[in-house]
Amino acid sequence: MKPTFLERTLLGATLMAVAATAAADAALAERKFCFSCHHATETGLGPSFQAIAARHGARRAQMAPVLAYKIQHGGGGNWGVVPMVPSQNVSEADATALARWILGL
Amino acid sequence: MIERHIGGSFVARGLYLLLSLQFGFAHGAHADFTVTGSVVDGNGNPIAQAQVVYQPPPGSAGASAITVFADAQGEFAFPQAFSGTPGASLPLVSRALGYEYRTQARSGSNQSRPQVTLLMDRVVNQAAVAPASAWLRQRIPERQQQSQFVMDCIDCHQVPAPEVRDYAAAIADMHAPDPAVARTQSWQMIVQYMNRLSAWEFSRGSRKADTPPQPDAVYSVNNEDAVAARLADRFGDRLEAIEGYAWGAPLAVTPQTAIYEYAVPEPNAVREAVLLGGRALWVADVATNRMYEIDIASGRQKIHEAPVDVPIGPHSLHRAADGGLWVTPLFNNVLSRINPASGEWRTWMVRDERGRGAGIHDLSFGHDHELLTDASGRIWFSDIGNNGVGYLDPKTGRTELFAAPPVPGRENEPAMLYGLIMNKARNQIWYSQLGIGAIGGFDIDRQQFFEPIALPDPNSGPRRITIDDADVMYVALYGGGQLLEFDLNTRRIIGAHDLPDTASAPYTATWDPVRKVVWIGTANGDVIYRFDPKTKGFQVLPLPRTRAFLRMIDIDRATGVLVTSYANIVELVQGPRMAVIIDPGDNVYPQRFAPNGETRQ
Repeated sequence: MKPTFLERTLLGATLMAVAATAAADAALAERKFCFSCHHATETGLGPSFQAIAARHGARRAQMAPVLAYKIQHGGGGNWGVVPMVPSQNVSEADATALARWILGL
Repeated sequence: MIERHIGGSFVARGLYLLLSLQFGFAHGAHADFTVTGSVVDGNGNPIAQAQVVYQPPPGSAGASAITVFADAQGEFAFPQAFSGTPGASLPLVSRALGYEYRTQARSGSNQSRPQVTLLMDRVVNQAAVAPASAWLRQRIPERQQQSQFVMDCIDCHQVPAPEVRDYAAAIADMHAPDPAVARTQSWQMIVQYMNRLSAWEFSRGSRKADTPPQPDAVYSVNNEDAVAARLADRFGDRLEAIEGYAWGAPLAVTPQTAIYEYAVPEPNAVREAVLLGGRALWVADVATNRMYEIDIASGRQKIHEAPVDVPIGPHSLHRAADGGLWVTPLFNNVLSRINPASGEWRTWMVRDERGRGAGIHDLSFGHDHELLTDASGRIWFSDIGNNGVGYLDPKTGRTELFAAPPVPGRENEPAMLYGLIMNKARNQIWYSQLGIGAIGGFDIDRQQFFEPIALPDPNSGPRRITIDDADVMYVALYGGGQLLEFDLNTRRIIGAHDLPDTASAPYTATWDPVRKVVWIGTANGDVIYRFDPKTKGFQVLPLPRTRAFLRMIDIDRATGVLVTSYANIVELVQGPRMAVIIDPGDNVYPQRFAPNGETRQ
């Protein structure tokens, strides 16, 4: 079975859902291949960004570095039984920006 | 230092010459020292044929790393002097399958001729040196499954590369109610993720920046569930240890063998490399419009930018008898010829009279691994885009394309017409079809295809091909882990020879016109094999690096050094991106390679 590629639609939905200032981060998420596994509002291979924000958004300051670490190094056990892939091509600064953006959704 | 070099302006060339002279002067001002020594185990026993790798400090002239091999007494010597003053500890390590490097000790007080003893301990876990293929052939020993797996995954990365093993460990660490279900779900996720990355990589040149990649781009896995199930079944533990692997054949090394590795500044997606004039390494960067030119003595690099607006993705390199270097594009139909002396480019949009563009993979190689044209000077190419062959007449710009005949029973899979060679009489070209496990030929005078030959396993993966001086063709069977020997005169298979490691994913075969052997570069085995058609025997040349994802091998006509590259092409794949020169150390060619660019008789 071929994967369904809804990135374009989902990216559009994401862009509409957030303030214009966050557009750069949606684009960054696209560039760093986040949308391969995560979508804005629907569960994909990983949890939706909306679900992550709903769970952790209240503790944004504390959780941003935790999620940034997870973006860079991967991990698992928090949303199911599929580990997240590490992304060694994402810098610490980009990982932090992405984590803050997701938690602000 | 890098300078951008467009069209070979006099200013740029003058600047380069000036800087080279300055660098040469500074280089000469340093004291030089030579390094010799021995490799021993904890009992003082020699470790014959151990690799000894010297990694000069950053900013040093020349190669990024130089490797030699210990002799039967464990002794080694580097062929060239290093510049500077040796520190208390030299940047040296030794490597051998089943051993781990521990420490070094200096003996002798001569500063300019340090002698070093390298200590290694015997270890059971070979993970530090063993190639990915060591795991693959143990975990998936069934040949048909092995070939399918190689064809599914190893176009983009080694399997299991360290990242794959890390992911297996992460899955094994999950606290899941049903670990088997968790494994399957996790590997399904990985395969889908890989397809997404592959689609992105291989559609670079054919889509606009704001358009998402097409999921059916080449090299995607189209049997995701089966691949994920096999991964869950066979890679179901932490994949931390590998034992009992052997290279599988005698090593093709001598105490004079030397391997020179040149890192290319990142980001890049280095593809093939050739050595021109004994001194300049030309390297294709498949992610851009660029060629790199590396001066092997100084390590200085120049960038040559193709004069086109679209990313051509320089891919296959073909030396021509007139000194030109032909460059095929990964992404579109822009064929280029670069004049290495002047840096000037010529480009052709290769389209037939109906406006159909060709998807060029290879130009036709002759037995000396140079571009060979037909009697009219036409350049023949494999057309992977249209599953055919075609020619460009560079004098008139005229192109004709010829569609290859279908292979019975294999009509429905993408054929991927890939490698190409021309016979001695220059009236036939022969090709491989990577996607369907077939080979075939085309009669140039009659403009007719011969009946294609289907190999037994559709996943055998015939890839780059070569031809000897008696019209015997050799085909690297990527999936099958074999070397196919095929006689063009009788149009019959002489043999399909199992490589010492069938999971090594042989990417390329190159005929060596002086040694009369075939060199086979692997993508998953971190080795080059040497095949002798007389004895049908193999030898192994182990490379000093894991993740040595090899592409084409060229052979320098003067010195007989092998020139190749570690081409980890997909941006997110970890691993070295280097051009590599290998002196087999057998003194068969009339001239001897020298890393300062001054070949000797």
